[in-house]
Amino acid sequence: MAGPVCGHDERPVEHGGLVTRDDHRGSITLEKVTQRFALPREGREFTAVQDVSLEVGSGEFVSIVGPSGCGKSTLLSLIAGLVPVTEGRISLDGQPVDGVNQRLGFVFQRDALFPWKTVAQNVGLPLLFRGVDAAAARPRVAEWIARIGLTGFEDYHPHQLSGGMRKRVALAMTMVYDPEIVLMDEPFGALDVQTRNLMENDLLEIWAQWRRTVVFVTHDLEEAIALSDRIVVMSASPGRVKAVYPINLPRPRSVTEIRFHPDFGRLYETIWKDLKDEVRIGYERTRKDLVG
Amino acid sequence: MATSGPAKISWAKVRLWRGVLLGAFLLLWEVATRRGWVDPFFVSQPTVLAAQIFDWIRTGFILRHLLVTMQETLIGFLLGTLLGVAVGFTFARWQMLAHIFDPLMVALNAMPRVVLAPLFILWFGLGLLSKVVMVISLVFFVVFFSTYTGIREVDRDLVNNARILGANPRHMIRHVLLPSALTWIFSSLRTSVGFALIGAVVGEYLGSHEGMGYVISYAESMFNATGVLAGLLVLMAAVIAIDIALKRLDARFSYWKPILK
Repeated sequence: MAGPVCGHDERPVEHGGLVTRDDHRGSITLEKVTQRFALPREGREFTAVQDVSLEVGSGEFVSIVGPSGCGKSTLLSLIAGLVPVTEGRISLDGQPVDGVNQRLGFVFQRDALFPWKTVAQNVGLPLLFRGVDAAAARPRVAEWIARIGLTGFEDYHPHQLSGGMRKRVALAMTMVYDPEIVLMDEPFGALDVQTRNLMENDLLEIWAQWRRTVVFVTHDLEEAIALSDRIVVMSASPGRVKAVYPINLPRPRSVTEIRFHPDFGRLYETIWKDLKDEVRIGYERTRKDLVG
Repeated sequence: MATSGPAKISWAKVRLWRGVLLGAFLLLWEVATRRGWVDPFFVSQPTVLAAQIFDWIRTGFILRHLLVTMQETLIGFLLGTLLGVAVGFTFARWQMLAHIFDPLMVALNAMPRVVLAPLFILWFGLGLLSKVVMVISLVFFVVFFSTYTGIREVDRDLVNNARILGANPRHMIRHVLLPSALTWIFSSLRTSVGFALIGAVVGEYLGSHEGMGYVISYAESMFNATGVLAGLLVLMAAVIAIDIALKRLDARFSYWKPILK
């Protein structure tokens, strides 16, 4: 059974300020993707994601929102090729995903920095893995460290940095090898509101310049509206696509100011109406699990 | 006057009290043996002990034996650690092997190695080799289990991140698995060094013609309490020195960790 709204027949939207990259690389296609996990202890299967079809255009910023446990993060792992798909097809630029794809970047919920490496070594790591020689890597690393405002902190270790700084290092580590697609799994969830807004603005700025495809998972609807071109609302578990909303707010945006745009509240209300029910279902389900 | 919060510990005072208690203990010991409350034949006497140790050091007698013990400890420790890391790593990478050998590892680890010492001496002779094997048999398991857990418990996000960042299997070992396991290995290091020394001394004690275990065993066979205690004291000093050195080494290798002291 297909979800209520199938992104299948949707074309990447072209609107307010969005310029799709010429090379059209970095498009993602999900066709009827279903993901099941075995729960050996309970002797049954758990369906995390069901019949998800979605197309993300090159250079598009798409957010996925939904109640906790609806399989948002699972979707990202599937796109990244970290976990093989149970059913359906995922392809990047028409190429089916088969294992981890190195044209792709992933910003994790917890900043997955390497604690035994310095800021500069962390940022340089993907280049080292890709066999870029040290002399060529150095200026790129320095450039990204400067971009994230951590010049002078090159030799610090992650534990010496604040949460916001670590997140910026994680971002630089992903951007330094210039991936065509960046997947972000609630990247700013653990930050305080001020730092979070700063980071969101930084992200928008980087994205405006680099125009990479971004799939951004969050449970914060305001964040999703402020950042995205399109929002995918997922249903409570098993996660299906419940609705897709284009966000036609003008760009360039500032996350702190866009909230005052007249359309912002309207969009919020419309999407929240959809999301609310799912959140309630998700909440009641977890509560039942806890009680019974 | 009321103070808020937990009282701040004054280290000067702690040191003072340690000194006072140690002094009082030694004094009591000395007085008790001099007054005839306790027979020094059984418990020796602080001044006699001090004289014995001083004499050992002066003649170079103790240095020779200490060096023998340290040599066995060091060789056994290094080999045991290498072996433990290698096997731990292999098992963590190839789960099949881990499953096959699991009962064997558990059984071997459960076996009291000290009781094996006579066998090792029988097989490998009275010299260095039997002690080294003894030390290996003790160190190996400590290091093996911590390496195995260290690699099994490595942060999944880090492994996934490394995969996405483009790490090949060799990168993964060098930049993710080894550093991660190293913290576990180091946290077990101080335990395993202690085990190594015990292994060497027990081995010597049961059959050898040199080393600290031999010194103690010989003194014991002469009913020489002073010799036994002096030997133990020298060993104790050696263990403390090694422990301090290891603490420094640990601090050097875990520079990236928040200070947990």
